[in-house]
Amino acid sequence: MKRLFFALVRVLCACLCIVPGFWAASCHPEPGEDDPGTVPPQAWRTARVYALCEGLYGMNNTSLFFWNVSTGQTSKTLFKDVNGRAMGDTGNDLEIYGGKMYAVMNGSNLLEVMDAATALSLKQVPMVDGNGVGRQPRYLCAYEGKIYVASFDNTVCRIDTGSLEVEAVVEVGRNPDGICASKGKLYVSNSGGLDYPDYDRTVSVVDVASFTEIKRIEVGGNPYAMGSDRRGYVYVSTRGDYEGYGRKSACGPGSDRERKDGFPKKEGYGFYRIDPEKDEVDRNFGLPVLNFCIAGDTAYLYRYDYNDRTSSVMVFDLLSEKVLTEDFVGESVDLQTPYAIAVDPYQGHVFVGEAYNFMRSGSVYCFDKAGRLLHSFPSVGLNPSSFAFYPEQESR
Amino acid sequence: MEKQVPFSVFVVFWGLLAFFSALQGLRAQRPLDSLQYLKPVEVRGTRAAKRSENPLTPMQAFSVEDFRRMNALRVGDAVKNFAGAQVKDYGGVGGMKTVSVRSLGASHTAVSYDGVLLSDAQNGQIDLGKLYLDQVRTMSLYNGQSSSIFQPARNFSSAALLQIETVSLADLDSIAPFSAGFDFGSFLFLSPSFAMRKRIGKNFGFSASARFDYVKGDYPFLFDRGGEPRYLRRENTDVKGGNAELNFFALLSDKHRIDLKLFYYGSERGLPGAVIYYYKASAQRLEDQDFFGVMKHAWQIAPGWSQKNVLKYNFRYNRFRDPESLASQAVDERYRQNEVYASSSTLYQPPVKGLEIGGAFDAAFNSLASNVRGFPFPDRTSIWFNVAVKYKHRYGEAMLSGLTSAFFDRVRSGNSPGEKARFSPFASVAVFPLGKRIWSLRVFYKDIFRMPTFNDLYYSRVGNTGLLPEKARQIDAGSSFSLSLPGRIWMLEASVDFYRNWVEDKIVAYPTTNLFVWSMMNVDRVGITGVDASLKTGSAFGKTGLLSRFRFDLQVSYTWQEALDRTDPGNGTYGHRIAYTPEHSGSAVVSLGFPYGELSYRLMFCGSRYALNENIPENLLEPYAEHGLGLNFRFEVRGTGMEAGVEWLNFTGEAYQVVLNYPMPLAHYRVHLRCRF
Repeated sequence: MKRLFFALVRVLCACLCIVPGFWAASCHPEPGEDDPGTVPPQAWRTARVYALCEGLYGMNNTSLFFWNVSTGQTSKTLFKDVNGRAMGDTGNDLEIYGGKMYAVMNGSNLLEVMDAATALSLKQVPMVDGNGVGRQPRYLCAYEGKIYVASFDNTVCRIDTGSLEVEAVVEVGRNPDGICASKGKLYVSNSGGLDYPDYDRTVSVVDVASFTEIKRIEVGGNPYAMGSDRRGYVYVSTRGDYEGYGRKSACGPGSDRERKDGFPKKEGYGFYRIDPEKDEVDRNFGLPVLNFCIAGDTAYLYRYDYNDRTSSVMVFDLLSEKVLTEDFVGESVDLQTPYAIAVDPYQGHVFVGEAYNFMRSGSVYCFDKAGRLLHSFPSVGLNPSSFAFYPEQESR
Repeated sequence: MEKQVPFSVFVVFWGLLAFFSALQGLRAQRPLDSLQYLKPVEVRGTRAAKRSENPLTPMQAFSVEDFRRMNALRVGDAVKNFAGAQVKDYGGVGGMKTVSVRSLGASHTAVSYDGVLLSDAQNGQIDLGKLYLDQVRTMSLYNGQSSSIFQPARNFSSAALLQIETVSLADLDSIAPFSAGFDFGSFLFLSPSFAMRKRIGKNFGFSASARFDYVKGDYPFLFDRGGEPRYLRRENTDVKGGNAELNFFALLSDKHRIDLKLFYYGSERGLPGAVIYYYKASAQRLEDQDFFGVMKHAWQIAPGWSQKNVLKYNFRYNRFRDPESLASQAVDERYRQNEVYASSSTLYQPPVKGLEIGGAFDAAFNSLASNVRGFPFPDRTSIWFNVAVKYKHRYGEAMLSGLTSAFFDRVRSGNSPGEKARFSPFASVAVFPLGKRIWSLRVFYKDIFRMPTFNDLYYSRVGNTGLLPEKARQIDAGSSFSLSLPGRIWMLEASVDFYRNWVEDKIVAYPTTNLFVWSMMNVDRVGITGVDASLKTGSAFGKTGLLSRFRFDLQVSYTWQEALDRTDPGNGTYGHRIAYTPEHSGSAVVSLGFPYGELSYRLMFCGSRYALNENIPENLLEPYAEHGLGLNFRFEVRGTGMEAGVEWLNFTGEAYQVVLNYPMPLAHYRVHLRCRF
């Protein structure tokens, strides 16, 4: 009974790793398991919701917020309470896979591995190169029993979920930012963000079996979040030059970033689809998307314009390729700075992290599918950047 | 529109003052006596280190004796003892130290070195950790501005002025011509120094000094990230540096005086960065060079008219490298800065007793060049014009000044911030209820601003050419009591000030394009209320004999402050204390002098404060108290003055941070040896 339960949990976790905003639902079912769509998520209830709060660079103030759904209990210092130590610096990404929870700590240059049920630390996997220089890990994805971490040092590391050691490293494009898996391949967005203003515009395709880069696909400039749907299509958002669509900068009166930097700035946010059979871009949706997550055949997209500080959350149907709702959150909350988005795989609720001005504690909002606000959690921690969901132990 | 109110008040005040002084003039006697005639020539000699000579604005001063009691080696060490001054100390010997006065921010504090402002158009802040106290005779901190109206116009252009005065011609008789010293201490600190001063004939003199320093600086610190506290060592903290200074003094005639100064500072250092949990220190390096030459000419135009002219050229270079950057191109940024500055100030003492009128016109040209791709190569032409009038009476003193400044910015490529001009009024009144200057009551108002620096405007991605000047308005009411009479063996000085400051359009870095890329914005408003109090007293134990060689000194300063975020009532941090502003802070120095020596104790304390504007426990920085002990000996061996001292700093081993994740050294020592001949 118990074994069966854990097996099921494992399947669910594996299938529905929808978790953190950037590469949501990037992972695929374990070989031989059911397609995630055939497991009715309603049979399971979310027991715990985790939100990784990034903090600010150099302040060592990453924290882990948690909400026990059934008891209503919350804690914004879960990691420290459980482990008696600080989590570290700049936690970018969080994911649950196979009973373990993984947090990518960019500033601390490590992968924090925890027990998914308790957040008890199991291991800190250093993400440094042979010389001890930090790789600056950004985002991770779990696929077929392995964890893949994309780091700013132009690499993807493969980590075994059993030994929790870095097994292999593959070189990809410049400063990878997002990662997801589909059809036996990893897709990595090469941002080139450290070479500003000379951004990269490609997505690297890495063959999982041989763990080698097999192709680079041209997309928009400065590609960021990656995700795949259940048909295997891969989606990528691109940030371009961070210009809003047709908008001039509004950093103070009279400002004009285009002229200031001496580089032509034309490109805004973009949203592309990659066909995994041909490994080519087959759709350019022409939507301003900074970040997104995918649940079933629906994608939740958001845009945040850093220049005029406006934002919106859209609902996009992946089959009809149509925007279903332009303003998902509507009047229910005054959303200022969305910083993370994820769909709870068990209940289908949409979680949005609100970062305000990045200098004060953010909030987490939980919406139902229709965009009605169900729960709101103020002051969860500084800059909530990623979510993870842990299911109920016994469904009866 | 808001500007019109202070301006009209200003005009009315001027009118009244002119009328009053004209009235007074009828009774005043002329011509000027000889003392007044000589005054402009001796301008540098009469360094106003006394409170009684500066009754209009709050002023605190330290001299050579004070530096010794504070165990201070650098300007940045001594500044910590001023009431109302918060030194942002990034730790270690090579760490940067900038001073923010009354929570206005470090960019609002101007630092004058022998009457001429040190400037850094690139980042706007002067690192006080780089200035040694070797040549410094007095150091004074003025809130608002100094009471002297005979100054370059730029010296009126800040919210606070730190005035550093070094050895001058008048001092050359009282100090030995040669001195050689050697300082060393914990964490492999080594610093030899040499100085030479000589008067040539009656009217000429020169001084030369040089210092080299090296520090490894790998101090241990207590590492508390939860769990078992551990001791770790700072890494990449080494500094190699040196400075040299050359001065010429010439009294050309009774009426002309010329001073020349050449100054050089150079260093190469590691930037350890913030302590990042579970990861190593950064490998970044910074090299900097700073050279300036100043020529000053002071002369008497005619009875009642005197003038000071200044010419300055400043070259600055810095190079920043980050060998561990993950960008495709190695990070190796080089910046070259040039400044040409000229000032002419004139003082007119009309035949009206107590009245002085001063006018000053300054101009500067600054440029910045860099190898950074797409760099806009900005330059700025600045002009300042200041008119000031001061009236002194037995029962009071009043001063009004108006500073007009204009800035013309140009860039070779990209967007130019264009031109900016502002009028900045200052008004102050002091009264002496006893008819003597021992007790004064004062009030001042100043409306000033700081210009965005080149980094604020143009630094790669961070810069924002749309920035407006950051405004700071100050109101202060205070009182000073100062008693040090000739023939008395004791002295007492006490001062207390209450103030309100408002900062608008504060220039702050905010994340703009993502959390890794921040940009400067004019967003914040801050309201500051505070009280500064200071007390200085000292006495010898006797008038004559052995007892007169024993003395006791005490200096205490205390600040209560409330610097609150007034940006946006809808924002979650409205009404919260802004980052790094403790409610309580202060310092004390107690010393006991005895024949051939002195024992001193120094305490600095700082209350709890927050690392971000949000006042939640997660952002809280613990209060700290740092204690230091110093023992100095001075004696003579066959005509050679010897000095030996040992300082035991932070001897209680307090583990504290001034800036979050920049731990300060635990207990450490320093020894200094010096001989004068």
